[in-house]
Amino acid sequence: MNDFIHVASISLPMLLQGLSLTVEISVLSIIFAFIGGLLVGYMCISPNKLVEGIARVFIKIFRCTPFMVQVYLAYYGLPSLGINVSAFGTGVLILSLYTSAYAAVILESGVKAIPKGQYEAAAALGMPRLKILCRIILPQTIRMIVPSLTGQFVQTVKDSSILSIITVAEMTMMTKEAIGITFSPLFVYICAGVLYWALNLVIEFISGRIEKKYNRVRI
Amino acid sequence: MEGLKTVLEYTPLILKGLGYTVLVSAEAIVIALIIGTLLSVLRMGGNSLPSRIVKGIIKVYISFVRDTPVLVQIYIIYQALAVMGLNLSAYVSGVIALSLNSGGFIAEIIRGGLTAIPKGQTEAAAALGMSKPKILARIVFPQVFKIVSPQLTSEFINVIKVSPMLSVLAIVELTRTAQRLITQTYVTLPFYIAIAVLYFIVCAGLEEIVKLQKKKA
Amino acid sequence: MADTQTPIISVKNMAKSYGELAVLRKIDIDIYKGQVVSVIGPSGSGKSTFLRCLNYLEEITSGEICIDGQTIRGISEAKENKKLNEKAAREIRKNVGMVFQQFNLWPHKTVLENVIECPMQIKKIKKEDAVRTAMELLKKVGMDGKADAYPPQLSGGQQQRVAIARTLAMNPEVILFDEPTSALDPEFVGEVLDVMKGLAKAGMTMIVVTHEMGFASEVSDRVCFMDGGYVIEDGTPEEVFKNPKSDRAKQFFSKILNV
Repeated sequence: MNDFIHVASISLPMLLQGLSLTVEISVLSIIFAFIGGLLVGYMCISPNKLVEGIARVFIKIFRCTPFMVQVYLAYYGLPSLGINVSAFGTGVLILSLYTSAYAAVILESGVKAIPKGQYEAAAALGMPRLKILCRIILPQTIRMIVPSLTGQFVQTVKDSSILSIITVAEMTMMTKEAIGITFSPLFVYICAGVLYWALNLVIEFISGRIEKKYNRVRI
Repeated sequence: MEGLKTVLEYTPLILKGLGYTVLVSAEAIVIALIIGTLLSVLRMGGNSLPSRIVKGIIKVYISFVRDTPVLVQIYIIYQALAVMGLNLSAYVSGVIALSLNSGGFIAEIIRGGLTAIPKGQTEAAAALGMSKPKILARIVFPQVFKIVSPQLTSEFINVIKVSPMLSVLAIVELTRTAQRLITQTYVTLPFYIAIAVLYFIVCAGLEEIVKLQKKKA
Repeated sequence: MADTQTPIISVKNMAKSYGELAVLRKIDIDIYKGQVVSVIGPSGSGKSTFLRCLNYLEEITSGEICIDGQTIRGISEAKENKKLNEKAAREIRKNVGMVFQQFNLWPHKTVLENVIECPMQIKKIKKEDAVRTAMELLKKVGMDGKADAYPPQLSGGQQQRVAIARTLAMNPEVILFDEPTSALDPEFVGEVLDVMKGLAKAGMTMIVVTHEMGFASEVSDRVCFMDGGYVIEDGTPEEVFKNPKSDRAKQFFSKILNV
């Protein structure tokens, strides 16, 4: 028992430090991914076939390869393209790109679920296309996809653990460091697991509240 | 160009790695299907205290599996199996970890499928005198598996996409094979590009199957 | 009364097809200011498509539509027509309102927000002015008491009345009604028709695709009977209902009057 307390007193501060970076990476990535997803999703519904095609290829590539391989490719590939960013920057970049492919699909399916008449009513009143998308379609879409977007946020938190392989000092990386000091891998890994779990449960709880709020307004 | 030549030289090894990736993923998904089905059956229990406890444990298990990173789960299982004194190879530990993970997801997929079966079907079977296990095995699950078959294929794609994480246990699947060749040849990017293409071909191919399954349903 | 000098809408030789399927074959019609035109006919006759072409919710394949000096041309005739049509449609839509079968109110905005959205966003009218006008219009359709409600909280009839107010807020010269009462429960049909009657009396130019033969014969000064992508009968309600010239119209009326 004393052993555990000793190990915990050393490793927990390290894990919490990693956790804060995990949160930071995840929040940044989900924000960038949302913006990227809007852009790619907008390209997907473009009347221009070439623009749509580019968006579809982007989505396909990021969804049909393992994230871990994408991380390695970015880590070793960016410098050879002459782009020198920190491991943290590389991590946020690749996680944002990867997540935006998923966000785009969520957004697109949300937009397609809005009845066509919603668009037509606005068009018949003389609203330009972009304005219709921003003021009529998107607000309704976002309400509808809150559950999927939070699901994606949870996924992003989990995916961020893979950034430990490129020395980003997020929680999984810090877990390994703590194990290096304490030599009790199972206990420290379980602690990390519980912390990830708690973080995601909090995200899901908040999402549930947001959903309820929207549902109350729209009876 | 040099890099490409090096990669091509090692084609047989790379393909062997791909073979292991597919093998380990296939083994994991089959075991996961059994775990997922078992969990779904156990969750059907009534309101007695023992079955409520079982349901509670399953709920916690699924929540943990879905809300924590696979990488952490792989480490935990590997270490836990070692602490339990089971002298298992890294390969077996890896398959167990992936199966336990995917099993949680499949349990949720099956739960979705179960809601699509009208209650009248089980009632009709029960009225004809079929026992409960028989109803599940002959009436309910055959339909459920048919309904959720596209999602199960998608889950197989997911397993393939997380399988590179097994490289941290030194299991020589596709990603680990590439890493070995990289340290051997000092050629990095071409190998990663090559395996990315291979993963893409497998996953994009399976996605086409998902589309076909959805069309059929 | 109806000004019979220059048509406000002039359709010449209009045809519309989806690939091989011809929905409108050849439509020629002039509509004058202040006219209330009912468009009737069996389902699949092209009535709704005709209406949707007028404000460019559908492209036309050939022929032309002139509204307010703006022209929409068939896209099969010249490649650049698509771009020109979009430009013309933007002008046309400023003057031509539309009321839909499914109301199409925006569910994330309150009744009042639905009505002030376009005046503020497109005409850049100040909020207090937009709200004042909107409240007047809502009063006119009897919905001022529900200004802060959300559309899903309203009955179909109430939603359709708000949709009419939303259209009126843009101050259109013409309003197109696409089966405005077809999606309503029977008890709510009357309240919507009453609002439409009021508009007709006030001199609004209206084109109404409808199955309400009562409305067509009482309120409109002109009835067009469509079938198979053509306008087969076109005249006063008296002429079309009492003395249809074509067999198709006779058949159609005998069927619906027997029901």
